[in-house]
Amino acid sequence: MATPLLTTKHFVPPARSAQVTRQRLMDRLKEGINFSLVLVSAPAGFGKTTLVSEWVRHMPSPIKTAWLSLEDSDNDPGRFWEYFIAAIQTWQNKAGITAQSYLHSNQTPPIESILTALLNDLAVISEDFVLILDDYHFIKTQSIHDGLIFLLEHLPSQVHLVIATRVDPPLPLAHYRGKGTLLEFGANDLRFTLEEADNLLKELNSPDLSAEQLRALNSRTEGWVVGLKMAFLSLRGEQDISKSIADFTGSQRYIMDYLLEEVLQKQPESVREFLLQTSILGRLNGSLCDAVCATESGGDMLRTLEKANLFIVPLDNSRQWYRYEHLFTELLRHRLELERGKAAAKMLSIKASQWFESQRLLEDAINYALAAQDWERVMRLLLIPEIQAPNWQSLTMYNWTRQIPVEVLRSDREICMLHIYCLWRLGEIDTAEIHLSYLEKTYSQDSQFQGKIAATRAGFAQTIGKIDLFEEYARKALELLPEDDVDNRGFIAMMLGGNKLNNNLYNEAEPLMTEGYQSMKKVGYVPGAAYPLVWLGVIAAVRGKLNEAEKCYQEALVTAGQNFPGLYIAHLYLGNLLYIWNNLDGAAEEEEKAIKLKGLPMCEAVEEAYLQLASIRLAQGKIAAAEEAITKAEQEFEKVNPVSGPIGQRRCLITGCRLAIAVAREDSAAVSHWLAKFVEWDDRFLSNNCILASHLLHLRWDQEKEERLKVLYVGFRQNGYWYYCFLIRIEQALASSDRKSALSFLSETFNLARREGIVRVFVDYGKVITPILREAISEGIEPEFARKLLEIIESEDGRRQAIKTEKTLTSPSSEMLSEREKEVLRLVESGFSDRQIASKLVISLSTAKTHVHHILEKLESQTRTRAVARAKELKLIN
Amino acid sequence: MPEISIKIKGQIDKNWSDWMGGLTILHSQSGETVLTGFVRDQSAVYGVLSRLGDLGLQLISLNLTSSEERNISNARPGGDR
Repeated sequence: MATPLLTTKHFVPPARSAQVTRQRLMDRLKEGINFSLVLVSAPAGFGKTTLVSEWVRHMPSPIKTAWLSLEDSDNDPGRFWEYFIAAIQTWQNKAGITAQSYLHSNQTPPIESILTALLNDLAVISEDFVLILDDYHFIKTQSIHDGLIFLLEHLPSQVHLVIATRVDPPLPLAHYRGKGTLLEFGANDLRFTLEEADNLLKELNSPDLSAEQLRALNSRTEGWVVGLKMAFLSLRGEQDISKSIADFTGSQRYIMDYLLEEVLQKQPESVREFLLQTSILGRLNGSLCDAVCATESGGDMLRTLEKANLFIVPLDNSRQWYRYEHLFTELLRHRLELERGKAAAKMLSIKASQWFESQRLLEDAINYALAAQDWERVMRLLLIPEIQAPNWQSLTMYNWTRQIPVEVLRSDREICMLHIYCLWRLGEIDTAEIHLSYLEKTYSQDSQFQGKIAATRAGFAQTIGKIDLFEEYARKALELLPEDDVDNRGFIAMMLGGNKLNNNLYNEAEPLMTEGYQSMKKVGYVPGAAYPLVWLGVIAAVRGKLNEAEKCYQEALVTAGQNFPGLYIAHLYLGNLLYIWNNLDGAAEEEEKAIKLKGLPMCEAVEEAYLQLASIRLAQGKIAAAEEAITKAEQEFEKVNPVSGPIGQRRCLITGCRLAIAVAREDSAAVSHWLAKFVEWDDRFLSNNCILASHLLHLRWDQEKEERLKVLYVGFRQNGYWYYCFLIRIEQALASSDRKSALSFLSETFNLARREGIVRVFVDYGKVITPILREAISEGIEPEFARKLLEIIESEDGRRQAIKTEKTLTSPSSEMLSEREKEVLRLVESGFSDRQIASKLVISLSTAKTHVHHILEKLESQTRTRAVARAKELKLIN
Repeated sequence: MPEISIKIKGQIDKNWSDWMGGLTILHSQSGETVLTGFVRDQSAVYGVLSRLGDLGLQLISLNLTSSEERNISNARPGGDR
């Protein structure tokens, strides 16, 4: 959010000039730091803010506090959490920085991710910390309540939340009561006692009253402090106090109707006028009041009101900004409308709007223009870039546009589009479509605008997962949108390009991604350019330009910022590249960074990173870690939305990796199992990762395979997919029955491999490729390069042999079984059947069986009893 | 349209009607106020209730009758007697 934050919202309201210390309540409040949540819930005018702020001012110094005064405009979750974090930062400026950066990112992550980041920062704070949310009743947005519930569930014990509100918030209060984590104050607690009323009377310098008179007033107002205060003020300068009190206590009128009249009558005309006219203002300062009331002494007047205790609250230490107490505002506004009429009230709002606009406080300017129902003004302000950009598709924007009457809204297509984008974001696509169809008909002659409509419809189609429809609208949009509409064109091009990539149509994807990249740069959105840039790198890699690809990935990593999809694929593909270059540690690091982004927008499932990590672990000889990674990949894969990815390809890669693991474990049963699955896949799924498994295909070499490879090669060459051609050439070198052509294929692969640093692809073939490498050396074909490859293969093989020998000599370490397997083993020990284990651990029967199978295998045991005995021998279980 | 009747403690001035969803404001002998009239829907009812809350007024009772219920009670046999 680029809108500046109002620091007044974090200001702890200062002590009033007339304030009563309410010791009995303060004593109870002090207990607050033994609770997660303190709820002060009572109607307007019960002194909630005064009470809590007094507590805060008297907080013992090791306890830190932060304050947040809420208002209507905080109903936008982005804004609410922004202020929430900023409140914490008023004393702990490093807390919540990650959470904040998530909020500022273009793709805002789910609120749980943001709050988890915040909670992590809060957890390390050692001091007790109290955060006050004042006027929480303004918050009506369910997702904010949900976020607060999540926060309260995970709140570290030294953090305490205080909510002051007119109505009980929709939180599971009964549950908190049951857990004993909630301290509550209600209206009955807050009612003034006779003694407190007496103290207030003295503070206000009102005439002395007899005990009887005081009791009468306290009983008439029922200890409602705003009523008491008003009553005391009305007695100032009163000749016949007894009569006044008798009249008041004898009346059945609503006390505020009664007392406001009394109090206002006693004010000079200028004060009375000022109060009425400024009642339309949510916050006041001297200059603003002058603009609204056409006076020149607004600042003095505000200070006078403060001295006279006329229900005014300072909002900062320098006495610049004030506000009236909420109830007082309501009463004054009502009176203003009664005495001057609605039109006059609107005129005042327009003046306020003009003043705020002149100060470039545009959001306030919009709110007052809305209050005045000056639609022209509202729409002009909404189109100002400073307003549009930070509030794009936000709930704040929606709360503005939805107030505009439909016929007015539709009279300006730009404003109507703003509204449509908000509806889209909120998932109200049907309603958005109604407005869009109207605009489509109205502006049927304007082809540029039709392009914009098509682009929007393409977005709708993408949202609801209708790929065909998306393609149709996206094409139409690119046809109609002018070249200079880089913003719209860029997004459409990238989405369209993404679909092409999903189908491995790299050549078709390239111009689209290039357009996306250039558009993002032209509009100055550098992080947004990272996403298409990575894809351009991938396309370069497919064309055999690996060095060029690296440059793209590295640049994307530097510029991606909080563009999570861009960041994710940059780590993912850089990891892949480093793998090919045989920098295994570097590759693993990148994939782990990619995996860390899990849960962020468009990184919901990170199956590809796990899949890549599995290959790396396997190459490192860490078979158990490889298995763990591939299992995670499978779990992540379950989450993938079937319309959004090249499912078959990924499933094939997982199968290939499983197969390679089986080979490494020399588990012949598993090899034949996975091989059978693997060969079901079509050759078109051949890609760089797939090589892991493809070296097993030599098991079934035949004439037919050789022919298929030839056809594939021709296809790839036509498209210029030189990396794929390279992969095929290696296969051919291994497959060829004729020694001379085999060496010629190999020599061809060496050219590209040397230029682009490719190592891993050869090495992954292991022993399969060593004979032909030796031949190359003896024939003098790139002998140095071939020797280097040979050395790596031999050293890795030696390492594997060593591990194997070590394993047979020494007992398996405790890491041999995963935590889950140990859990299962303990159940086996207790005599549980597979079915019972499944139900106990809430897993499927087949998963339970797999676990048991793995345990038996790892413990080299034929029976369960034997496995348990062996585990005890090895001290794997007690 | 549902018909509503809200009873609150104390007598609020009749000129609040505009701010109370246009409901008619009646004062009872016992010092209470009754707000009655037709409201558009439930959200209008909540609007009035939140207004009353904002002013710190105390609610005594609330009665809401839908048009169907009125028809049924009018049609009840012996209702005329």
